[in-house]
Amino acid sequence: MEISNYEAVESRTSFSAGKLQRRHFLKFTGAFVLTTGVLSCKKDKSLSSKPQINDGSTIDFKDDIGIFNYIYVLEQLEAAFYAKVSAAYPSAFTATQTSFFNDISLHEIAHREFLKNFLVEAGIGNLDFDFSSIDFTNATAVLTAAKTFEDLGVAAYNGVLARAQQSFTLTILSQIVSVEARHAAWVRGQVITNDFADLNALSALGAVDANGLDAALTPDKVLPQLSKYIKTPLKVINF
Amino acid sequence: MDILNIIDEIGKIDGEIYERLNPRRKAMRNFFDIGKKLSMAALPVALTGMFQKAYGQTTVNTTVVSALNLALALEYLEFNLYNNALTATPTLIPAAAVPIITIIRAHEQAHINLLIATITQLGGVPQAPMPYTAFNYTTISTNVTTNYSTFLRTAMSIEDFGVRAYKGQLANMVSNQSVLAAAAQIHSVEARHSAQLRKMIYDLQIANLINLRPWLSDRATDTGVVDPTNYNDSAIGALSTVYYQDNATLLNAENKVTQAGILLTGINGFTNITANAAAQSFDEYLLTATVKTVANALYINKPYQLT
Repeated sequence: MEISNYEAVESRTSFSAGKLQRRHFLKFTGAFVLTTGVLSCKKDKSLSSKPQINDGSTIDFKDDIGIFNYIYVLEQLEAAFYAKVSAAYPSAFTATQTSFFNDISLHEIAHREFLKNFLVEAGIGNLDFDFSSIDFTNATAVLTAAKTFEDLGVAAYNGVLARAQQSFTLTILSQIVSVEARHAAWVRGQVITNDFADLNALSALGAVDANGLDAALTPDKVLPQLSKYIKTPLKVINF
Repeated sequence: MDILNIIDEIGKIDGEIYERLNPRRKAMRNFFDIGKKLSMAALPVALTGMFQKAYGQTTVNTTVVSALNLALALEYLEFNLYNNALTATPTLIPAAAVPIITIIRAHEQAHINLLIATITQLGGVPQAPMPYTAFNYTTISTNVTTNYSTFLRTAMSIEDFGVRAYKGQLANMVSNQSVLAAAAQIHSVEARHSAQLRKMIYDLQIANLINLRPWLSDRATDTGVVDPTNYNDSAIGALSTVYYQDNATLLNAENKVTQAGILLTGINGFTNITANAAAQSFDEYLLTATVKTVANALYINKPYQLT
């Protein structure tokens, strides 16, 4: 069966609920298996079709809105980081690095603003960040930080993509993650030659070189790695 | 990974799990047999397969298997290009680039192995192996085996095509979450390959491709003039369908600037989000029918064409 109406705009307003049918049960077992040893199993998968209004800092994984808010955190972080980089590029940056960083900066703004408009009142607010641990005058420091954020971004998207309850969500996530992977590949190569897809190095982020699989981490593994950069307290529930 | 705990946990929800599993010894035996052959990382796929069998999906899930088989055909397309270059025409690739192409080839081989194992485990029949001769790599030029830049540009187009094709197949895998997760992880590796190949072409500063980016962009001339109506940044007209819209949805050329009904160009007052930046920031999918049409037209020889 082919998927039709793949990009239904109406999906935006219908984050409604499925019942616990076989498909959902199988998805549930899959999630359980994938995260064994990481999480306890959340048995309450109740879903609501009521419009959601976010209190500004809650990521509620009970449905796809939680996934979108989660990636909204990541995109806000990335956009804020690149905004700081592009405000004053390291003097050692090449013309190509400056040009490509400018591209990436615009992509992250587009992602962030897209999610803001997509989520409207269901979205978290504008977050505050602390990048004081990064020396923005030092090219290596900036490239290394960018590499960290991009690889974590890929891992984060891949880690929630299969949890999407709507194929529409899946599509949006897949459309963004490949762009993040392009960023990651290029930035990695700026730090270490030929490092664009070193799946052994990325095994700490869930990559499996033997199977040619990229990074993938569940949110409970991603968020702690970013907590030192995110000043605004976040409430993560129903994970 | 404590499998018994998982089964026990499910038992709290479904008291019949042991009965579901036990009478179907074949499901359990298949699982343990496969468990011997697969790495721990592949276990989730095998486990989910066992549960699917236990939970009555005795018929093969043809939607998932078809999606995986289409991916497998494209993996053969990718693998053979690299493998032939590395083995049959060893002088084609400069020494400095050999490690890169070798890494990419290893990933494609790993994907082939994983897809075959997964399809088999799901009870499906894997696409028969496709040799080098199954494919036509000369869409850009017949000098693909002697000209390094033609080789790179051919590889780039195939990787770009693969990324779009994987994206289109993900929604066909939603019934099997672990398969879907693995496919997503393959998908982003292919995007990394594409970015790397694009970077290598950029480094060559070839005429007409001086402004090529690691990310799919609107076509830009060598003097930097961007054409937001041109979705094909490969500068090869014959490859336009790789970057063009999906045949069914008619919306998803790679210069698309509206996502989910939200216009990205100039979004929320950010005037620096040009049409090109908007197009670059989201990649686009191709659905099954379009993937087969484009693959057969550009890359696959007659006896092997996808049906």
